[in-house]
Amino acid sequence: MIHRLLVTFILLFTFTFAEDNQKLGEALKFEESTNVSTLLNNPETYIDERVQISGTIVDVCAHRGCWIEMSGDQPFQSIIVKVNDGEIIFPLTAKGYQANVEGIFEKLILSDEQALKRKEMLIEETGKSFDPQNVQITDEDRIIYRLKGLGAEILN
Amino acid sequence: MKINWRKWNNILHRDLGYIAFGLTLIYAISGVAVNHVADWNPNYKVENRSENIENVWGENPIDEIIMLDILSQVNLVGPIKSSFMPNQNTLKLFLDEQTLTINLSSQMVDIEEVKERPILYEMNFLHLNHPKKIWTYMADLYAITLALLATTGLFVLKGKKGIKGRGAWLTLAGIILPLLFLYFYL
Repeated sequence: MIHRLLVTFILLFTFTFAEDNQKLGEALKFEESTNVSTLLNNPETYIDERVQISGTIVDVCAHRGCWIEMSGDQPFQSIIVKVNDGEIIFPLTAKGYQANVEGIFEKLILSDEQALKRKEMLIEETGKSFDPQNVQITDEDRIIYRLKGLGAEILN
Repeated sequence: MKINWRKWNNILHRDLGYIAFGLTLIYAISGVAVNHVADWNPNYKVENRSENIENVWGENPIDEIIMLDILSQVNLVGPIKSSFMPNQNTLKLFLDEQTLTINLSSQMVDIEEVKERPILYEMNFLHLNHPKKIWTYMADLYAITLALLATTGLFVLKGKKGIKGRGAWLTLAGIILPLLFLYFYL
């Protein structure tokens, strides 16, 4: 009897956890993804809309797993997916994996100070030196587009 | 026939205590670990190091042979899961446990190695209900068990040290403590 129960329990466990892909948050609703370039080239069309994107996870929030950066379909292109703390926790080991992510496409407007800091980070990443005296903040610098993540599937 | 309810209360308290022991340890250890998430990562151990390498890429770093050459220069082997260039000057290579960020102009490689913290990772996995599905109901059962343990615990002893004596004061203190924090923080 105990032996049978044990076998049933192990089988139940196997079916429960044996999944190739890691699903996080809400189940994905769409079968097809929208290109990140399509979103970024026509942002006003998609703002506040639920969309799905696909790409490589190129960075993960090291502290709480509360955001990921996904690569886009064009060179040097990426987009941040931010989730509410604790609702989804992206594993740090997800870097480099392909993923499908759904969320609400949103527009953030930065203050001049925030935009300057962001520009400094982006310029320094390219290996150039940053001189705040020679930098002008444009309207483009003040705007960030990102996804408020609702659900994700990491393809292992 | 008079039912000895205290005897059954104590049996229930004792046996639930045995059953809950393992999970209570898991939840307690993981609880402390995730409570300090602002100071450390409770799931992963992250190590960073930097190395200088020779320029083997010329104009074209996105080539698998060149990427493997870069890996060999820092004593790592593939397979390479994927790669990404966030800008013209930076190449990222993703391995199973390492992420390499290569500055193509300075030829510096930052290597980040991420490893799951043994035991603690699994404890947090259960505590934070990452398995979902059946584990959700297991965790509910455990919560009910804790509530029963707390309630039956009140009636284990009779007399001066029981709920009518010292127990009442200690129980009251345990209720007032969170209320005090709520009063000051809310």
